[in-house]
This record gives sequence, C-alpha cells and structure tokens, in this order.
Amino acid sequence: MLLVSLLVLVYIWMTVSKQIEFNEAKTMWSVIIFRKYKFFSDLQYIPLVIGFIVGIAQYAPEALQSRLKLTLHLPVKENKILIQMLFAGFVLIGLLFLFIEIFLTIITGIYFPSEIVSDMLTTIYPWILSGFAVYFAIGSIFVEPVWSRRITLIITSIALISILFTTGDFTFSALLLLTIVTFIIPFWTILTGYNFKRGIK
Amino acid sequence: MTISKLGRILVLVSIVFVLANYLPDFYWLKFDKPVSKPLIGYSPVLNQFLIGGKSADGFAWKDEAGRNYSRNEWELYLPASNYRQLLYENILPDSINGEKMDLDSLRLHRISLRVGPEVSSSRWIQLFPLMESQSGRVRLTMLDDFFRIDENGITFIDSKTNENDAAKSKIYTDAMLKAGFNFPSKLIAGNPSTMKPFDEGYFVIDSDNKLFHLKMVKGKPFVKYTKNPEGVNIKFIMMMENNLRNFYGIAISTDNKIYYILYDDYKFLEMPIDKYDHTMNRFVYMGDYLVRNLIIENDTATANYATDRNNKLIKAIDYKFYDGSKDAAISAFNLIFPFSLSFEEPKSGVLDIFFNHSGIQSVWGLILSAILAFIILRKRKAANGFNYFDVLIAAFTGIYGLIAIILIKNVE
Repeated sequence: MLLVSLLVLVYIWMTVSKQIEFNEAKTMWSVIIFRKYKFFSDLQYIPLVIGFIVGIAQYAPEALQSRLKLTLHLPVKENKILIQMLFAGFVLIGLLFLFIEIFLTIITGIYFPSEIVSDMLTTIYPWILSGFAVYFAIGSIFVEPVWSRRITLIITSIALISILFTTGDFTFSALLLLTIVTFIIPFWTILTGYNFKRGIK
Repeated sequence: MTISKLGRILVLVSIVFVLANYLPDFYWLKFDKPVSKPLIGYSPVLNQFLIGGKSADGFAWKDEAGRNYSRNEWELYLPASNYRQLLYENILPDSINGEKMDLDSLRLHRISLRVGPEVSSSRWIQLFPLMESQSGRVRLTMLDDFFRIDENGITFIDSKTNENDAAKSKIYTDAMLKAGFNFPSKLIAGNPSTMKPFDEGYFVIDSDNKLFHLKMVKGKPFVKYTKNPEGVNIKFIMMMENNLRNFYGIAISTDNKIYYILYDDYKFLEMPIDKYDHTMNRFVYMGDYLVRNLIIENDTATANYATDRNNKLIKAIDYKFYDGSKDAAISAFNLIFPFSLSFEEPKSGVLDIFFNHSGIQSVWGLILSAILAFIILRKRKAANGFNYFDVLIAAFTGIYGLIAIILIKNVE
C-alpha cells in the first residue's frame, strides 16, 4: 500500500516537473490559479482504495472463517472489541494518509508558494475522508449478519462517500460537517455488533 | 437508553443525512422543467422594449404589447447592437435619433459583461500576475512572477524558482505605503488574462476600506488612491479593460448597488437599478452606442433598465417570464420533503451547507409520515417493533426518517 502510494506520488512529482519544463512555470501557475487545475488529481481515489483494501483485508478473513463469532464470545464487551479493531485500522491508514499528505506538501512546496500548497491540502481533505469513510463502513458492515440491512448500509455509505467527491471548493463549515458524518460511521458498529451477537434477523 | 439504541440512532442519522441529500435530487431529475430566460433589449427606434424568447414555433420577438417581429425587423429596430449584420446587408442607417452611426463609435460601445452570484461568491487562490501595462507592444505578455499581498506588504514570487523577489517586492511595498496603503488587503480585483486589449492592473482594497489602483507602468509601480466614496462598502469588483475607456469595470456594494468605476478620476457612478440582490440575481450589462441595457435576472423575472450613455434612465421593464409550470412540482416537493440538504447550489461558487426548509406546507407531509410510521410499527412484532421514539423521528424528519426506521428496526 505504501509502495502504491509512493509510486503515485512520484508519478505526480515527475508529471509536474515535466509540465513545468514543457510549458513554463508561469503557465503552470496560471492554470492552477485561474483554471483550478488540480495537478495532483491522480491521487483522488488512492485514499478510497487504501481504506477499501485495509478494510477488506482486516474483516473478510474474520467474517469468512467465522472468527468474529469467537472473538465476540470472549468475556469482553463486543462494542469495546469492535471499536478497538476499527481504531487499529484507523491508526494504520491514518499514518499512510499522513505520509501521503507530507510527501505531497513537500513536492508542492518545491514548485509552488504556500497559497497553492494550502489549496492542495483543502482539496485533498475530502478525498482523505473518503478513505476513512470506506474503511469504517466496511468494518461496520462486515459484522452485520442480515443481508437486507447490509445492503441498506452499503448504499448509505456509497452515497455518503460520493458526496466527498463533489467537484468544487468546500467551505470550512461544509468540511466540518462531512468530517462529523464520516466519524459517525465507526459507531454504526455498535448496532451491527449487537445484531451479530444476538443473531437478530 | 441502551448503548445499542444509541448505535441505531447514529445509523438513522446517517441514513437521514444521505436521503435528505439525494431524494430531492432524484425528485427534481424527474419533475424539473426547463424555464427559458428571455432576451430583452431596448429599441431606440420604437422607444420600447423588444423581448425575444422561446415560443411554440421556435424563437420569437415580441414588443411590450405582444406584437410579433421577425428577426430582420428586430435587427433593424436595435441597430446599434446588430450593426455588424446590418452593415453586412448594407442596410445600416446613416443616423438614428440624430446620432450618426459611425463604425468606430458603434464598435467601441458594444460591451457586454455579466456577474452571477456564483461568480461573486467563488473562491480563488490569492496570487496574481502583474503585467506591464505600457510595454509598447500590442500583445500583452505574462511575466514570470506572481504577487501576494499580506500584512508584510506586497511580495512578488518568481514562478521559475518559487522564490521571493525581495528587491521588486520592496519597491512596490514602498510605493504602496507612500500612496497611503494600509496592509493587508481585503480585496484584489483584476482581469489576469492576456486576451484583453490592454492592461489596467488591479483594484485593491486596503484594510481601511480604501480603494487603490495598482499597475505596472514601464517597470515601475503605479499606485493611486481612488478616493472611493466612504459610504459604499464594496463586495465585489469586476474589472474589464475595454477600448471605450469610459469605465474600468463595475463595483457591487454589500447593499446591492452597482457602480461604474469611471476613468474620470475613479468616480463611482451608481447605476439606476433596484431589485438587485448580489447573492441571488445575475447582473448583465449589454451596452451599445445608443443604449446601455442594465439587466437583473432572477428565477422568475428579468428586469431591464435601459439607460443612455450618460447613465440616464430611459425606460425600465420588469418582465415575468416564469409561467407557473413548476408550481405544482414545487408544492408537491414541499409536501413530500420537509427539508433538503445539499452541498451544491447553482447560485454559489463554493460547496457549502445548503439547508432548505420547505416551510408550512411540509406540516401535512410530516403528519402523514408520523401516521404511517405509527401504522407500520404497529404491525411489527412487539419485541423490536412499536415505539414512540420512532414515530417522533418520522414526525420531525418526514419521509427521510420514515424510510430510515422502516429499514433499520428498533433494538432493545
């Protein structure tokens, strides 16, 4: 995962330096400033893919081999265990995203002034959120035993995530609301875990 | 309340959030109808407005009384805005109302400019190129550096090296300070494009709400305080260099007045308009040698204030083009959806939280939702079926909550 991110980041880096070499720096700056050209748009779905893969890798084996049943029969509260599992994954992908952000900030900072760097960071923020959102959703949904409810939750999370990919400039308050909504998703697991343990149909 | 109930509420909240975002969209995908906005121009020949718009048999021109005109007639009656076609057909009159139709004047006055709410509310990266305004060349060229204005002054950054040009920054900062500029700036307005006849640089508002004109003349800074009128709180400036050199552009104030910024000592000349709201309406300037049409458009009507070259109001019209075709759909919407939530809004240049309440009409929908919730929950088995809390959710969030509680059953 780290390798894939690194490849994409290096690709973006090389593309930017090539574009500047071929089109002059001022042209590159102009299209970024006046045409809102996002030179880092190749990165757009990377956090989503990372969140998806980490989520599947963590939860699919548990669910398929019924290990979750075993875990949840331990004399520990199921909520605690499930939230801890999600938190572990959150830290892992959080570190990956932090790496991506730092790397991209450095690349951007080489060629462009701080205004463009902060614009880049606000632009990628909802993309980063999408990675957390998909991971939390997978974690909660895998635990859910009933397919009809699973489908409801899958559709809800897809709809939520697609809002994050709306083209345009989010305001601070919009980003705050979207952050809150994203961080509600891990707590779905309280319900799905309850359903799982009780086998509610 | 048990923790599992809390978990369910969070799921319900998420579902309501998503539904309030998407269901209204789906509704309008099905029921929205196109409403075409008319073109309105003042005819100095007929001394009344001609209104062009879509009708049953294509595009048609009518006058205020509803009489039909052909395209050729319309062109003849609005000669200054259609002078090129008339010239091509060799039927351009020599003079109209005593005004000589000379080509230079016709060409110079033919200016159009539009500002919608999505333009004035957009967010842009605050870096700007300063061009040489008197290079002695016909074609404008972009230099390698871009400037920012902050509390330390104006800083030029070289795009080739991404480093500050300390010397140039100092010269310009000093020039601005000398002109009385108080850093930082509140607004920087220019027209950073080489596709214009010449360059007038920027209008910059300093932290004391003073408006300055900043440009580069033969490599040196030109900074001038414009003595802008004190009571006018400027929200937006659209600069538009044009060969007429009568006005630099327009300024829109927070109290919804629109001014020309004149070449004559930067005077603010207020346009004779009313009913304008910069957050809701589009302003269009369609000027020609004989008439300056100042047009304010909203969703249901177009107002046109025809003025002469001296900003004197000739005649005004408030033309309602909306025929009520969407009223039924809007009423039904308000009944079905108690509110809607969106991040996109055509009248906004940014993605923000747009929460719209459907008003008093939605009460019936809410009551119906609560009754439906009551009936449906009653039919469910006792253990995780009926409860008043779910009915309450439906009563407050209407169709969204109803769907959510049907999909996600209650827990103990």
